[in-house]
Amino acid sequence: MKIFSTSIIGTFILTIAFFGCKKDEENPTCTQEPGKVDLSFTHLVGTESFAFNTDYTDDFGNKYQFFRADWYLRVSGFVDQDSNPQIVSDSYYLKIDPSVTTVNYGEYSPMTLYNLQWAVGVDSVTNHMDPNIHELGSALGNQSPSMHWGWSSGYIFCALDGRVDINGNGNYDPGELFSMHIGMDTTYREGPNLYVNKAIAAGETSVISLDVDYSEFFDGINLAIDNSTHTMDNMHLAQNLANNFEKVLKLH
Amino acid sequence: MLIALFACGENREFLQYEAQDVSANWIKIPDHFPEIDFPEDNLPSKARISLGKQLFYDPILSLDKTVSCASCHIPQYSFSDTLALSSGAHGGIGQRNATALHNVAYVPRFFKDGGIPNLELQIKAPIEDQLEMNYNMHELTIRISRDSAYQRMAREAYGRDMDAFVITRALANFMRTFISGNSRYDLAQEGKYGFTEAEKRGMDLFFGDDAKCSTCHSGFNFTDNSYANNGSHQVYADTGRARITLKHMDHGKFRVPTLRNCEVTGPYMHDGSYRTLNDVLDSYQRGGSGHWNQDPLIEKIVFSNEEKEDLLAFLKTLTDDSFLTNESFRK
Ligand code: HEC
Ligand code: HEC
Repeated sequence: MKIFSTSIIGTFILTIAFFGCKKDEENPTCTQEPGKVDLSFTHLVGTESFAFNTDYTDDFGNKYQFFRADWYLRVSGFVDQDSNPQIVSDSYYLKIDPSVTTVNYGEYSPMTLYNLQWAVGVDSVTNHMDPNIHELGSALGNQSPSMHWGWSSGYIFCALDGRVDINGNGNYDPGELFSMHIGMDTTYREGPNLYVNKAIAAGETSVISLDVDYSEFFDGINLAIDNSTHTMDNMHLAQNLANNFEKVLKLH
Repeated sequence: MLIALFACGENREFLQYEAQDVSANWIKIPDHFPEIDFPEDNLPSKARISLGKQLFYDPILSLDKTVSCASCHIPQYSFSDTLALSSGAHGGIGQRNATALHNVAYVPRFFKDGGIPNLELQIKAPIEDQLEMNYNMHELTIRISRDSAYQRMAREAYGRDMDAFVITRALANFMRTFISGNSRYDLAQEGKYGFTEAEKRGMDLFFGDDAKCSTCHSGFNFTDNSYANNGSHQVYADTGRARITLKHMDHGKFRVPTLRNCEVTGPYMHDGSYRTLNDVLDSYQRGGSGHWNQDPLIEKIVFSNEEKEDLLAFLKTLTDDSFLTNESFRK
């Protein structure tokens, strides 16, 4: 809802800027007319589209389903071919779940964006700040279900919950669940830069299309055996998941 | 002063609100207590304290609207309760005894393991704990925003709409008014009360080199706020401070509790496993359980039964009746 209303406002402002520009064609600032950047997400489990309460298979042949998949994406900015910063957006956080499709990343002067820098989780300074200072609806504010432990451990970087057929009898028997709640500063992970190579054109919207592959969170993890961590109570599994964070986001 | 005066002309309305309402003076502290270190964004005001009080007693903060903060933090028990374990413990990290909240304004880190750095941040924990209020700050903010009386109070107190900021700041403000410094022990310091002989002997024991109580339970609030393993258990199911630091050397360490009002805050220790003060003193007399990580200060104390009674009599001088019966804390 919020995303929708923001993009309407964005479009509105841009339209005015465009007309304003046309009226005075000699105005050199016209060339500075910004373009809008959107991030668009496709949610997948392996090659299939993501859906809740739908069967998937892990690397070890175990059948599983999601009923919750929430995580924090930090987009820290863009750098060019020589690693010079093009856009710095240190405090740009998104709470991603499979319902998030398109979000606005702001308006920038025309240029070609090269490498997107990103991370899963919340940086160690922000992670220990009070979530209550953020307004309702902002990514780092209070979420429902909660994405914060309410104590010094800070934000839950990713919360993946669901069912797994542990005994392999084809059913999800009572108690056959997985629950992975990962957080704490030591599980924050930066991903490899994504080479987007996308031009921002004046007055237009450039869409950077990204894939989120939820199966990558469980890469190399046997859900029949390793299926529960709230980080502190199973740091080993939490670290294994965190080490997979860098594979979760890809170019579409 | 001059600056304030000039600024006043600039933006009269805002500064009147600041100047009239928001001041550290709203919280009265005894002369022998240190200054309170208020967070910059949450100085007290009458409106803030009364909003906090309203919230503290309101079960609207729990999912099924049956549990309020005061369900576990009851004024006449110095804002603790009488159960060993509250039906839950904050943060989903195991069951603990509800902590008394007197002088909470001076606590440097919250919870028995010191897991939370400030009072404002602490409040999210009970609200979202499944075993406590089992609710969610986001949902609560939406629910409470629909209440026009709360909206009015929020604007009056913080000049903004009801939100998570207001809920946490107001509750913290109310709790910071829980100042207890008027016990017989305090009165004796001011020469307004004369200790009995037994109390005097007990005090000597408490501050003496044999029992060493005051090495940990020191200062105006009878705690140095450090973490110690006092050998209350042979096996610590709840590893305490180690849960936060993940360090072996912190196994079984808990924040040294204040002993003010300890007459009414039982049962005792992190899990309420000691029913009476007598049980606690028995443990110290034995020299603790001898747990491998027990603090070396905890050693067998050679007490006569009479001396134990004296120590008990001294501990009871820390009870502040005017605090426990203070009407301004009640609903
Ligand atoms: C179900 C019982 C219960 C409810 C309800 C409850 N608490 Fe607590 N409270 C506890 C327990 C148990 C602890 C000790 C937790 C720990 O140390 O891990 C505690 C600890 C605290 C502390 C920390 C004190 C210190 O010195 O560390 C504060 C402050 C506090 N509670 C305030 C509140 C507020 C405000 C509310 C309402 C929003 C509330 N509590 C609701 C049981 C409860
Ligand atoms: C090494 C530091 C240390 C010394 C010395 C010490 N204590 Fe404690 N005391 C603690 C700690 C830590 C706790 C809390 C343990 C827990 O929560 O399990 C505690 C708990 C208590 C409690 C229970 C309070 C409550 O609210 O649960 C009382 C009463 C008490 N101590 C009295 C004494 C007396 C009397 C002496 C001297 C005989 C003494 N203590 C010596 C560290 C110490």
